Amino acid sequence: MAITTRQQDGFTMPELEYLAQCERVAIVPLHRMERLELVTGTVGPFRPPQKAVVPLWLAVMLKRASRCRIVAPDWLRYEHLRTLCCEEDQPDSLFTRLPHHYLEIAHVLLTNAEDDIVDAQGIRRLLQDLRETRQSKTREGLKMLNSLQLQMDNLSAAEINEIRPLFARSFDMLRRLDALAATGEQTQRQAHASDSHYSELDDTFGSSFAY
Amino acid sequence: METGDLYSEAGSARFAGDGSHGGAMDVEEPESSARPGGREESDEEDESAEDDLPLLMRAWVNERNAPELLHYEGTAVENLMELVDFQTRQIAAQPAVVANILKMDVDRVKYLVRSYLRARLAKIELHAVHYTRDPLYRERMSQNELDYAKGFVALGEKHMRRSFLDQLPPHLRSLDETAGNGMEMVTKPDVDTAVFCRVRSTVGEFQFDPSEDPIVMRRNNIFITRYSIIRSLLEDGKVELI
Amino acid sequence: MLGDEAFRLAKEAKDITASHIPSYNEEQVRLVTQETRYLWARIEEMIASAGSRGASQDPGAGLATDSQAFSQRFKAGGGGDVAMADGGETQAEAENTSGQTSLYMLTVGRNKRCLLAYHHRRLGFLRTLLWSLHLAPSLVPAELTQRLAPEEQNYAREYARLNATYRDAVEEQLCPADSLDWTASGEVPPRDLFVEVRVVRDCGEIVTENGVVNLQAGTQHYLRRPDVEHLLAIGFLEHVNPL
Repeated sequence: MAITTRQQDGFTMPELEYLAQCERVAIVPLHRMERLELVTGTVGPFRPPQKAVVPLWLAVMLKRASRCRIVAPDWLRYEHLRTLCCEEDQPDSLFTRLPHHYLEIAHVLLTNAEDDIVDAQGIRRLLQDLRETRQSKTREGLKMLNSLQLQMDNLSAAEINEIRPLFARSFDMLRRLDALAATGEQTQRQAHASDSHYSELDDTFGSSFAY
Repeated sequence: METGDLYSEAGSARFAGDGSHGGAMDVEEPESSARPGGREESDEEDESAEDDLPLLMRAWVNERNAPELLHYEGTAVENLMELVDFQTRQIAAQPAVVANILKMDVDRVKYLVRSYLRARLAKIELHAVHYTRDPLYRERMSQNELDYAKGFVALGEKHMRRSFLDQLPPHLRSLDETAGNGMEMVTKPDVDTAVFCRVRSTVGEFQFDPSEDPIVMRRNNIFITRYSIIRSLLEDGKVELI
Repeated sequence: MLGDEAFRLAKEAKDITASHIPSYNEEQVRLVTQETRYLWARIEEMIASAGSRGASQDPGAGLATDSQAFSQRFKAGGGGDVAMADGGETQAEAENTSGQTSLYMLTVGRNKRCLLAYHHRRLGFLRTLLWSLHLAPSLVPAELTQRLAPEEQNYAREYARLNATYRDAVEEQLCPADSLDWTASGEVPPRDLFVEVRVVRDCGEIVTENGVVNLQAGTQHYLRRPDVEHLLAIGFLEHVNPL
């Protein structure tokens, strides 16, 4: 297969990071550099100490070459994350609003630009808390799943990717049960099929029956 | 702005409300919400002016998540590769720092194109026979993909024949039949499988189920639902898979 | 018992995982095809004799022209009153024959399905393996090659050729002067060509595109990855902030 089995169940972490690194962040360049026309958009000119906005991947490259300082986004500040944690913890609260790739961006910044982030250790802790609170809310959501739709605003890319296999499988299971309940005829057919020890095989090879 | 009573909306199963609740602490996401092309999104997006890069990124993510093969974004692929070609020729003349940046930029675009094409090949292999027969899907493939699909089908058939079909009675050599329990040999994508989607531009009231009340789909709302239900919204670019 | 051979084959198909493939079981495949041929011959006999006993029967109608029409007949005859039985036979005889025939038909269908599933899953394994080997069949390790049927080895070569044809056509169209790095790992996005490294043990001076660098223990440098890959591999250098 042109993609791996890991990739069939959603995105891999490196792939999510790839997508996240297309998002833009502010940097303070440490060297002058002219405007650059990139396939992924125009950046610069860089005139220290004026801020510039660049894709995250470029910010990381420049940072590693000691050519810039990265300005941590507002949502990645300690005070802000603490408020979010409180909101997230309210009973019956919704998911708080964060960038779609907040976990990946935070990971990339904390790994590559720790010294540009005030209280990186505290922020790591808060992110962990936030993530765990959101995970337990997600589990609550699974109970509300039906076979038509469930609204789950503000779940982030990584969070969706994490719950995808379980939610998708549960959703499809509910769908099949609904379909069975809806038509007696199908129920009969199912009963007919299950009298054979081959029915398990049919399940196993259902998708690989074709050549 | 809607402040979320969790389960207030009749007919809508939801445990997450509209993104715009509780105004005070809202983040405006100054950096992160901008698309790589640098263009700010307005609520109603102008498709014609959309940059090829965000378009192909979305196409890639959609393709990986959709159960069926989607329309091939050939123009975006070609435009981007033309830019890649142009940029690649600039690299040698640049100082090391700039050259390194240009190289990374070009490599990232190539990675996207490659991932997109490979995701499609993997899907084509999954239901190759069906895709090569159904005019809807034939049109969704590039010429190269269609050639690949046909070659892939022929290869599989040949293998099955040589391995055992030729040893079966002639009546049993068909690779296109329906078993007694209704299972078909030629598999089709299951368009009712679950997908996660995000609303790109406000849809308004939308009927998920004919027997239930419609649900309002606003920009940035996220739903898990059957692919078949939002299929046409995806084709119109009103929602994206995530 | 009827269908046991196919069941064994199906169980072997289930043993195929992403990292393991059992040897191709040529003997088991042969047993299943043999049983299928035998059953089919019996079915044809039963139909023929049922047809000849039925005075009003059109002889052509008794012999289905393909297995699909065949199974439809038997689905329609699920209640026992099969069309071909309305001749001279008693109801009980007819039911017996039709019951026997449908049992054989079902077994024949299952046998074929198991054969398909078995081969299909093996091909799936083979394709995944090939992609992980940059689509080069020659890189398949010997211990794996010997578990493959000659026909499967042939498939591997032709599959690689099919992909090469596709890749060449795509590159010709999209980047005639360049390559798409088609078989590069699809999971790992491109990384910075430069790496920041810390020198663990003195390496002396190395020559890079940008001049001579002295790699003294404890110092940190920002260098092109290809220039220092070998020193990283043997642990003389270490990554600072690997992504």
